[in-house]
Amino acid sequence: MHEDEQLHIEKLRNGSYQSFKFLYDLYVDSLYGYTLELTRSRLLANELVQDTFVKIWMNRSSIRPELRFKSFLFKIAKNQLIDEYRKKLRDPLFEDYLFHQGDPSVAENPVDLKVDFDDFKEHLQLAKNKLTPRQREVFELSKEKGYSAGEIATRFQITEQTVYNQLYLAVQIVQKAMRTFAKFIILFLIP
Amino acid sequence: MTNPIELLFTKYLSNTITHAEYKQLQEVVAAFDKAELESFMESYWLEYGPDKKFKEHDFEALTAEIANQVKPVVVRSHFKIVWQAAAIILLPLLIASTSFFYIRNHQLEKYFAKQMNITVQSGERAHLTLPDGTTVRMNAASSITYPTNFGFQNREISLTGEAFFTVTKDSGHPFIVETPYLKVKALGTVFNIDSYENDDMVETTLLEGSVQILTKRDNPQATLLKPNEKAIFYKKTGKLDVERTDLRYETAWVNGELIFRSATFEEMIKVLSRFYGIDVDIVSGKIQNERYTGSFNAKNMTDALNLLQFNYPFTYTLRDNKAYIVFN
Repeated sequence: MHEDEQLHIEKLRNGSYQSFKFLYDLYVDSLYGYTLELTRSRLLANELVQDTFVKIWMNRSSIRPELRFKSFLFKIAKNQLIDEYRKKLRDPLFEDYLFHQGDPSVAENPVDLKVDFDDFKEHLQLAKNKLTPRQREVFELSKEKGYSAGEIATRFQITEQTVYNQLYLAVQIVQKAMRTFAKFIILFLIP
Repeated sequence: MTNPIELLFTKYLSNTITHAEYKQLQEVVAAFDKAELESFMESYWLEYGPDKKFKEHDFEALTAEIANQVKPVVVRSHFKIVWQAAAIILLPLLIASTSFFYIRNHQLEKYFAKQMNITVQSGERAHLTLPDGTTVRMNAASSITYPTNFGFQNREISLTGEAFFTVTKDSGHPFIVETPYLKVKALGTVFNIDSYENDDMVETTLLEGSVQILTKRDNPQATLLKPNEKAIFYKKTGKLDVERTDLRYETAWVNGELIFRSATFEEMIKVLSRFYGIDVDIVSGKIQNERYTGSFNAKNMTDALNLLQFNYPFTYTLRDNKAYIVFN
């Protein structure tokens, strides 16, 4: 623990904004980096950092000085952190994003991400404009909503093979379009 | 890391997880309850420290957001706040945080000396959080005033009208509500003060904790309230009484409900008029003096008057935010 931490916690409890700033500077990078590693979203990491520290200032009198400040931070941030992490792991598009590089050797450290999940989604939105309306529907149901080829076939009353064909075509088009937007290669996974 | 789940998690965080392992992790996270997830996420967090600095966060934006938190939440339309100056909360915080070494104390004090005033009109209610985290629910036609340094050196606030306080504990700084007739001093409590100017009494009801009440006129009196008690100060006689009370009755307005206990028609009209923001004129006829006990959950003045018509023989017309009542 930082030697001054105890002192600054005590002062923060009594309403010192300077001590608040001190503790913020001490932990902001950890909280930001950890959230980014969990969610791969800079926007979310920034929001979570801000929300957490606002709550800390508002609830400063309930900080227990005998605990590490880092534990208190987690206590404040944990619900949002866990919810967002769960949401990401349930999102089929997130899975495509994570493994888009295909080759694990290209994998970067999450905190050095050049393209975060938000960028990826933004590029994808643009790329989807190249699809026909039907291709787009099939692509979104499969890639964004996680429907199986069978479910999509039933929905549109077409054969599963037609779904695979449409999807293959759509993925080709989207990949090509995304290559022009971003400097990385996306390998969407065909179900 | 011997636990296979922790290993998956660590691999995920460092972006070295394989696709098959990711599928496993998805299942584990979906199956785990919050407490289980929490425990290994926390143990990783306590060890976590990035070796780099990020430029992206913005302490000034955070400060602005904190200042923003003390703005009241509008409950009804036409809510008016009198901001003495929009920046008075923001400026002292910014100055205090970024350049406090360069600013002389007396300059800071000058900023801090300003007053915040929040006024709620008739027919409206508001919910707000003070800089110390205390929440205030303000009833119709009420106003509070507090200095911009609220919570830094003291927690003193003045009130006219009615408000319900949930006070944040801070033993170093007692929370004091000042009304024209009395002072209420609290340390981490929940209480309601009803101090409308045109009422004959000031009522303080305690829900949790304890408060001290000090009268301000000649022969000052003091009393300590216990939960479920109500202190009544009679403006005419200067007498201070304490009685047990029904909390549901005292604080029903917080939930948008009105409860009357043995109230006269005129007493009820006074409350309804304030609550719904409608002036009432009793035009003619002899007012029945029968007392009324019951609760109101009416949406508006029309609903309320329709309900009262079951018990009192009157007709009314509503025109331009004013109700005209004629007794039969």
